[in-house]
Parts: sequence; structure tokens; C-alpha cells
Amino acid sequence: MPDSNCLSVKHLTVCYDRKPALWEAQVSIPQGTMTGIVGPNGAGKSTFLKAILDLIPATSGSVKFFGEDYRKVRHRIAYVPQRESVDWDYPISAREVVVMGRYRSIGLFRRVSREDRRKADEALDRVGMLDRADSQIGSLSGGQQQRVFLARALVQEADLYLMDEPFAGIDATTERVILELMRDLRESGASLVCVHHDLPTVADYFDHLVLLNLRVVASGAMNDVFTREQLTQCYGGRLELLSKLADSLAKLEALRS
Amino acid sequence: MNSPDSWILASSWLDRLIEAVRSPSYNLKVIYLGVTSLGLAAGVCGCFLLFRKRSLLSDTIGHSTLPGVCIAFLLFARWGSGGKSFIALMIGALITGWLSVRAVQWIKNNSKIKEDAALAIPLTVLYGLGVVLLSVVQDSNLNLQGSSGLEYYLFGMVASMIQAEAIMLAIVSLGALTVISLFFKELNCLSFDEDFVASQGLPHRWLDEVLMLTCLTVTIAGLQTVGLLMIMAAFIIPPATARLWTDSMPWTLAIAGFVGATGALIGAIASAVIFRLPAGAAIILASALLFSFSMLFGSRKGWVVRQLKVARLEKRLSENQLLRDLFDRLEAQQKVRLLAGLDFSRDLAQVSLPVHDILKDRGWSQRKERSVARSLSSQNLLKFERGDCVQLTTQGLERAIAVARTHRLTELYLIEHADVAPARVHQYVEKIEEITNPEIASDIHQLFSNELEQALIPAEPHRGGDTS
Repeated sequence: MPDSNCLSVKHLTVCYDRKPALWEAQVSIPQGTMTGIVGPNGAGKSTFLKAILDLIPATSGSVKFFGEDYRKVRHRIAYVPQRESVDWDYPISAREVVVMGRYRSIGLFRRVSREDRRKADEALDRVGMLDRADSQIGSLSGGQQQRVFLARALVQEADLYLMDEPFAGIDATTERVILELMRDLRESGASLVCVHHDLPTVADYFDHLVLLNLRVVASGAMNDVFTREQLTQCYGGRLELLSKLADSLAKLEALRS
Repeated sequence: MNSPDSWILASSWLDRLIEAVRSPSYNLKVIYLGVTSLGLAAGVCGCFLLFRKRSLLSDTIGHSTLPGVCIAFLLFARWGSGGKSFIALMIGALITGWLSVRAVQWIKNNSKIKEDAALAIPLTVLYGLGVVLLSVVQDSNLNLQGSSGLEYYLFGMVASMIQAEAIMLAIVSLGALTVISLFFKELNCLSFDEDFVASQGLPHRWLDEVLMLTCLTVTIAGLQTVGLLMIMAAFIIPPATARLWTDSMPWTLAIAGFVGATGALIGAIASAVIFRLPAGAAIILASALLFSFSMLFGSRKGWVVRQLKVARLEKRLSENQLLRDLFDRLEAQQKVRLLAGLDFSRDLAQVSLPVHDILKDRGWSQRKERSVARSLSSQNLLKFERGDCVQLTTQGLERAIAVARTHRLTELYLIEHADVAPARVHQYVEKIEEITNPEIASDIHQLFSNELEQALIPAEPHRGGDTS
């Protein structure tokens, strides 16, 4: 049975050093939407993305993409990590970074074909970076680097794009390019899930929203979730208790082991 | 001073050098094959270690092999056919070397200790154990045959290299290069962005393991050549050198391999020529020479290239400053006020401007004034007149307007959006101009495009008060 949700997460709990970073997260995200994940610093937004992608181990919970296990639908999912996560001094050009998005479909022991390079150039063109294709990645500005990462996701021709803070620390041009591109992708039927840091713009950029602060405070269509009560609950004082609880739990566990 | 003895010594060195290079003996050829293979493989493998920030792992592996070598030696002395079977010693080294890699990972995963300390603990502990075992082995009371050769593992010794060892080094090197070229695509991706490799479902742990085993094997194979105390240098110096020349990973690998092989060859020749010079040290010093040369002359980040870039930037900045000052003077003379849509350029270009007077606040030397003006005139942006007066050409005026415009908009932007005090904004923009690229400039222009429909150029914001 085909699932109309591109992502459904149940009871997802993740711990760092025995300290819970995410409690019992429950989220369903319908296909063809643009969803923002917001919450205060240290709320576990990036953790959430990494955990559903198996990049960090989850303590418990189930994650389904399009109703299937991640392993089976990996080719339908593209991930754009946070910009800080790579070594910008690495000797690699923008085009080579984008071509990496094709490695999975190229396969082991096979060489990058002309077709792969053409697709990479096409993606670079879509993000307005074709003229810098041969530049070393570190010589680009922050926004340009973000666009190259986005191009790498584009060449994967995915149905679901997971992005970690695509709008963090970028220039106005890049913001416009990324937003237009994301809307194009949604038009063509893809779904997008972005960790977002900026509350004032969240209602303009996204149509669905997940409020996260160690647990999922609320999720659903923008109009239902983006309300004063929900936001207070997400950013307000009450959750300090939960993080205190997490701290003391961690201490207890540390004593026991 | 020129005693005959030292002269003979020097000439015999020269003779030996010429012989070592032009017609090496069979033994020397064997040594050359061995060390170049090692230098090549270590240089190439080292690139991946460097970019995965694991360069020091080769040091840990190197030091950790000592107990393995000693234990293998003791076992062989007791039960084997006596003494130094180099295969047995290699296997011993491989085992403790591998243990150290595992230990580093275990400590990192199961404690709060960070990578640097996690690398140092197995290194020191296993090396300490090795030193203890070495003293047992070399105890003259035990009188173990062949134990005198074990210290070669510390500092490296190539003079005794036999054909079998050289062939082994060549095979290991070839194997390592094959593995790396087979998995180049994935290893490259792994070194750049590990999370991405993992998210793609490529076998990143397995790839990492392959890489570590390859490096481990090359390290062990090279122990006797460079010595376990210095083997890390064979993995670090060539990639660091290559990085100064190129921005492409395949070229980095090629240059690192070349530097490693060349350094090893030069070192081996030196140790053949100079009596009792340890090959390991010679190889490292030769590579270090190549590194120093690249630090100075490297085409990407070398010192000379950087100085040239700085000089070029300074020159462009000075040119822009002069153009801006000329423009300011034109403006002050009421020649360019309210430029909106007017066809101004033809008349304005005719105004003659005294350069020295205009630049008096800059504090430039006369030589600098003249050279900047001359450089602008060679770009056909201004013409010299009598005395020290100049005239802007039409292109010169256009460029001056563009420069002034960007400059003032940046100042305005800082005042309005970054709360910089108008009195101080000038000094900021002088600095910022160095880093304002066309993209940022166009963003700033766009930001002000609505407000500035009337006047192409805003008045200087930091002198905004006195509109006399």
C-alpha cells in the first residue's frame, strides 16, 4: 500500500552520551509539502535529521520513508548537510562536489561518465553556479557553497530533500535562488524538509511546520502550528524542566555504569 | 686550511656521489627500487590521512610496532630457525601496529578522551613496552644471535636491504596504489564529507577500514627503511608539500607520490655516499628540503605567490583610492552634483586635477603617487598634463564613478544596517573594500536601488552634515 506520507517517525529517541537529545519524537509529513523544522538552539533539530538517516544511532523508534525502510528507498532521498560539516580547504572543485551526488548510481569501480558531468553542470546552472564550476570549493562564498551542496542534492533526482539549515549565513542572492528552487521542486512533486533557524521567515518559506524542543511540540500545517501558544510552549520555560531531567538522568546512568 | 686530507675526503665523496648516481652497483639499485616504492606509496596514502586529519595515526602505528618486532624476534630465537627472519618480524609489527589502531578507536568511542590523547596513549604505552623488550633482546647475557640489527628498526637502515625486501616494498607499493585507484572515487568522497558517503548508503566503514589497512601495511613495510621513529614523516611531508602546488585531488596524489619518491631517492643516495648516515633521517631531510622549497615557491600557497597577490591587491586598492579622490574633487568643485541621467562625462573628463594636492591627506610618498597615477594612465584611465596635473579619460571617469558609488553604498549600508557610527564608517570601508567581491557589491546596489532612483551617487555619508 503506497503511503501518502513521505516521512513518518514514531517514538524516535536519541541519546548522546546517555543524555537524551530527542524524546519519543512522532512526526508525519505528507508528500509534496515544504516543511520547516524549528526550535531553540540545542533542541535536537540536526539530531533529528541525522537520526532518521541512520547517521547516528537511535535508541528506539521507527522511521518510514514513503512507507518503507530507509534502506529500500535511499535512492529517493537526498540530504544536504550543514555547511560547517566539511573541510573547505579540501582540494576539490565545485563540479567535482556535485558529481559526488551521482556516485551512488555510478557504483563502485566505475568511472564518472560524460553524462554524469553533464548532469552536474545542469544542476550547477540551476543554482546559478555554472561559471564557478572549476573553482576550489573553499574559494567560494558561504552562500555559493550552500548552492553547490544543493546542486549535489539535485543530481540525485530525489523525491525527498532533507536539508540542515540551508538558509544559515548566506547572502540575499543565494536565499532567493534556494527558495525559488525549493518551490520548483515542490511544484514538480518532491517533498522538502528543512531545519530552519529563523522564526520570522518560517511562515513565508514553508507550508508545514514541526516545532521541536527535545520532543515534538507540534507538527502539521503552518496555520495550525504557527500559533502563539505552540511557540511559547516550544521556546518557553516549561521545557527547561525536560532538559534538567535529561541532565540528571545522564548523571544517574553515568554513576551506574 | 686546505689540508690534503680533507681535500681527498671531499673528492672521494664527490666520486662516490657520481658513482652512486651514474653507475650504481647492483646493491644500490636494489636499495633505490625499495626506497622509491616506499616513498611513493607513503606519499599517496598520506594524502588521505592528511585530509581525514589522521596524519598522526602513522606515528602511533610506527611506534607501536616495536614490541611486535621484539616479540617476534624472541619467539624466533627460542623456537624458530634462529634470529632475524624479516617476514616474522613484519608479522609481529603488523599485529601490534593493528592493535594500536584498534586501541585508538576503542579509547575514542568508549571514553571522553579526544582524538589527540587517544592517539598518544597507545603510542607511548606500546613504545614503552617495546623499549623494555628491546633491552631484554639486547641483553648480552642472553647472547641472542642477530639481535644487533634490531635497532635499525628505530632509525632505519637501507645499506643492508636485500633484493627480497626491495621486491616486497615494490609489491606493497603497487598493491596500495591499486587499492587507492580502484576506490579513488569513494575514498575522495569519504575524505571530503564522510556523512554524505554514509547517507548515500556507500559502505563508509568498510572503506575506512580498507584505507587504514592499506596505510598500516605501507607503514610496516617501510619500517626498516625509514625507521619507526620517523615513518610518520614519509606520510605527512609529501602531502603537505603537494597541497602547496595544486587544488585538485588527483594532482595532490600525483605530486605527493612524486615528492615522496624523489625525497626517498635523494636520501638513499646521500646515505650511500656519506658513511654511516642513517637513511631514514636522510630521506626525511631530503623531503623537508622539497617542502621548504614549496613553501617558498609553491604555485598555490607559496610565499612568493602570496606576496605577489598582496602586492596586486594593494595596487588595485591604491588605484581605486586615487580614482575616488579625483572623483571627490570633481564633486567638490560642483562639477558632478546630482548626476541623475545627465550626459556628464564628456565635459568632466576635461577638468585638470592636481594629483599631489588631492592626495595630500593620504600620506603617500611621491614615488607611490607617481607610480599609481602612471599605472592608471597605462590602463588609459587618465592622461598626464603639465606639472603634476592629470585629466580623467572617459573610461577613467566611468570607473571612478563606479568605484565611488560602491564605496559610498557600502558605507551607507554599514551605517543603516550594522549601526556603525558615521564618523568611523570610512575606516571600516577602506578595509572592507579588499573583500567586497562583485556579488556582494551587486547585493548592496540592489538593496539601495529603490532609494537611489533619483541620484546615481549618494553624497558621502560620513561628511553628510556639511552640505555647504
